[in-house]
Amino acid sequence: MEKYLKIAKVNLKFNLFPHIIAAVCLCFISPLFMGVRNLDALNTAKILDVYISLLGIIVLVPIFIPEQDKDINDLIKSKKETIAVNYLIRIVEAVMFLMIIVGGYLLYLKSGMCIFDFGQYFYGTISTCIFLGGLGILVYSIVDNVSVGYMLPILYYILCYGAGKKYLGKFYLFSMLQGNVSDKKYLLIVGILMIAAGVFYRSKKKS
Amino acid sequence: MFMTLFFKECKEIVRSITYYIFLACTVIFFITQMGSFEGVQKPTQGQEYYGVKYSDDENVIMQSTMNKLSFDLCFNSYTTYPIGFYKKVKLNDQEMSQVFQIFEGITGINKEQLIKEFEKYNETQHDLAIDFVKVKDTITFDKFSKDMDKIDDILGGGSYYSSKRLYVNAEVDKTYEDALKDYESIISNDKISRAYARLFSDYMGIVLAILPIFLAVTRALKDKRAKGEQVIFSKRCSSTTIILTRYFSIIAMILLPLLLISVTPTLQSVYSANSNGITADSFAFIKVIFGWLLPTVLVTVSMGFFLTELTNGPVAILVQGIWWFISISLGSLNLIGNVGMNLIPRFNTLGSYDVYNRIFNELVINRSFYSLTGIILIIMTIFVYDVKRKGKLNFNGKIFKNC
Amino acid sequence: MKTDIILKDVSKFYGKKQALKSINLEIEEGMFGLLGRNGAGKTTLMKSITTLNSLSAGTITVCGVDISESSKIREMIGYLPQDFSMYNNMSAYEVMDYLGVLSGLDKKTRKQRIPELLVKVNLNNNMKTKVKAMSGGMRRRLGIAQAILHNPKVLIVDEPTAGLDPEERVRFRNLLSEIAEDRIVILSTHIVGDIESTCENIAVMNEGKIIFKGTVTELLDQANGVIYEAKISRAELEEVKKRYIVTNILMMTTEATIRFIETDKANIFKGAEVTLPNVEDAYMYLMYRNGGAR
Repeated sequence: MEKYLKIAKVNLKFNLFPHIIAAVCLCFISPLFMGVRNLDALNTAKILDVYISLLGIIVLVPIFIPEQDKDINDLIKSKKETIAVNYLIRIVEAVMFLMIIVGGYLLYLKSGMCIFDFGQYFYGTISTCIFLGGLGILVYSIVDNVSVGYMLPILYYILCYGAGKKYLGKFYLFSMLQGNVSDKKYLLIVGILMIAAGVFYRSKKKS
Repeated sequence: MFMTLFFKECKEIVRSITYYIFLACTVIFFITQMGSFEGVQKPTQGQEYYGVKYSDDENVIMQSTMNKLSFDLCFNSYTTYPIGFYKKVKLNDQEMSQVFQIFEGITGINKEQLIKEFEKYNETQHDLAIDFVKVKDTITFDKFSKDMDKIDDILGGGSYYSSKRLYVNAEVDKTYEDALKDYESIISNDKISRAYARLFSDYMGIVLAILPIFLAVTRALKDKRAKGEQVIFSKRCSSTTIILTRYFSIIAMILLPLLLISVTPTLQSVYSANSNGITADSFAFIKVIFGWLLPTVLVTVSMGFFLTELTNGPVAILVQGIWWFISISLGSLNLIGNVGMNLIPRFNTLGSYDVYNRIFNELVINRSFYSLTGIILIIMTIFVYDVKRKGKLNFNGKIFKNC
Repeated sequence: MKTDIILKDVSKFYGKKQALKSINLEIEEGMFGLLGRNGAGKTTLMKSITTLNSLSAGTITVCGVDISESSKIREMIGYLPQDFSMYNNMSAYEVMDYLGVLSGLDKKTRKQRIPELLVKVNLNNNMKTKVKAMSGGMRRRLGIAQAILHNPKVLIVDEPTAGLDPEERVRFRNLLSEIAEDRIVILSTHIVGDIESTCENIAVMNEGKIIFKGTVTELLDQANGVIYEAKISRAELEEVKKRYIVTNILMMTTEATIRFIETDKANIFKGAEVTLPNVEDAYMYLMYRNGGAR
């Protein structure tokens, strides 16, 4: 157990930290340009779906950055602990931080007298985050290029913005905004599958 | 030498996966947004619906604003955009009564009456018109505007009651005559293709304010990633040439598919123009690609280059992402003829030449500003690159690693 | 114009840390070796000559041109950094072609010189091999080829043999010697053997200072009479290692032949005899005199 904690700690210090800071900053600046008090359920959903879901990209996608350098990648792979374990720990860590940030943000909204179902919205937002992040992780894993990893989820987001539900069906990102939380399960499941596929592919790939 | 390098850079772009993703996304976006163009047809009399427009009749504006206000008062929920972003405002009791006072001064209806009427109104499930709220005949538009500005102040600014935005409330159905006027304007002023090209610029501006950043960041990080930075630094080639060939090649490779994509709508407009008995402006799309979209591309790519050379990291994606988000939100206030200093000017309609005419100067200033910003940023990039090359800006040098 | 590099009072600070301390050096045609530990300032010095590093003080002139005229300098210099590589998806030929353009060579010259040089570095069968598929040795050879593509007067090579197998290392050294016939080749290394067999003139750096400059023979002369050789039993080895600075150990089944440094004859045990120093011994002795060997 100690060694897993150590891996998590090193990851936090050398990799995850700036991304968490960026995510938290985005939360903090949100009241500057959008209403975060006295919102009804739909307007809360709007903030969560349209804005907070982007945190998934920021926090989850950079998971492979420490091994961006080929030599480091080879070195880490040569160690006893399989790289997949490393990745899993990082994912779990990132998701935990994501949950803390999103949860914190929801509490903040609650304290501002916004009216919504905490559990449902928490689940919905995390699902969207995991879907976007998972998409990034999968692409990053395959293409081995972090900016492409950021690119695709952002593009998907833009596509949702532009094309809307009619093209994307159950994978429409902003379903909460339409008062529908149940569609989020598709995002969550596919998101987890994409993360798993990304980690699996990356671990097996010969460099 | 410049051209040789330019073509080599273009070749490199064609071989990168980022570029293909860029292409795919641009095309998908184009098809989903602009896939169905039915051409322009002369409106026929007796149609049920001709679309909507903003009325310029002061009485209509006053009446519709009051209708809106009565809704907002009953729900105590006001939409505002203080600095361009959506913000819902709820008022406290004291502020509420201030607004009610103004409301009563204009309509003669007090709080209790309004709430009662509203309950009745809700029971009947009546659509649209709220017929019990009437603006008093004695109210002049001038006084009305001043009163509304007071409400806007109470709401913290940026609401639909600001005297500058009152016209937005007066959305009325177009009549056959309006529709005919629009049609004639598209035919005579826009030659169809120009109107369609504006719509094209509106949509493509959205993707072009974000996609190029990825191409730029990928290119700028590539040297470091490949460990080729030092060798390239040591070559004779000037920093200006190195950066500018990269810059122009990315710009060119973005414009090229745009020009190709624009062939379809150009042909569509030419066809539609023919069937209406006029000749379309075949160069309308080329004009907007260079005049309207190019500045967005210039500034986005420059931004990507500059921040990446400065920080050696992908932070430009985050910055541009935020900028894009802000611009989109700002733009969604008013989708037709929303320019200002927004990175993504909006013109989400086919036609409205009069609006275009009105905002044209604004648009020129906006586009010139971003072109200039793009140029300044790329000059600064060259400067940063040159300084880095001389080892004066070494954040990740060997020495630091050794410490 | 004379082919030489002159450094006068060159200093470089990174924040408070002084990486180069008032260095004076003249480098003439032929192979010049820069020896020193990792972190001694070799790379900093070489990058300064290549204009990739700004100086905090002092001047450097390359063939009479001050390094502030970076464009002129870069035209004269070929540089191979320690960890050279290029875009993964480019082939050997494309790398050369791309870097050739950056060096300002016209199409005709590139077409003529690139195949020539790829033959010279023995990559003629790998012209289409992509960078990502190359071994470390192939990359190094490609690196050398690109560095001399524009026929520079000065070639600067940072740790050229690091990571090469012994066979490749020898081949590489020979290649460098061949190139050095009509120009200056500066190579840095922490592997003494590289210098021994190729360089006439050397400089040794330690903690940002030049602690020796001269010929290999001069370096050897300094260590004359202080290098001893002895055969000892394996059991004694630990003890001897503690007492002396051992430069070499040759293990045999029951005994070991060791070479060590000792300046005071009184400390020499029986059976140890003075022997002629090799470059490695001399280098160790030099480091020992300048603050102790590690």
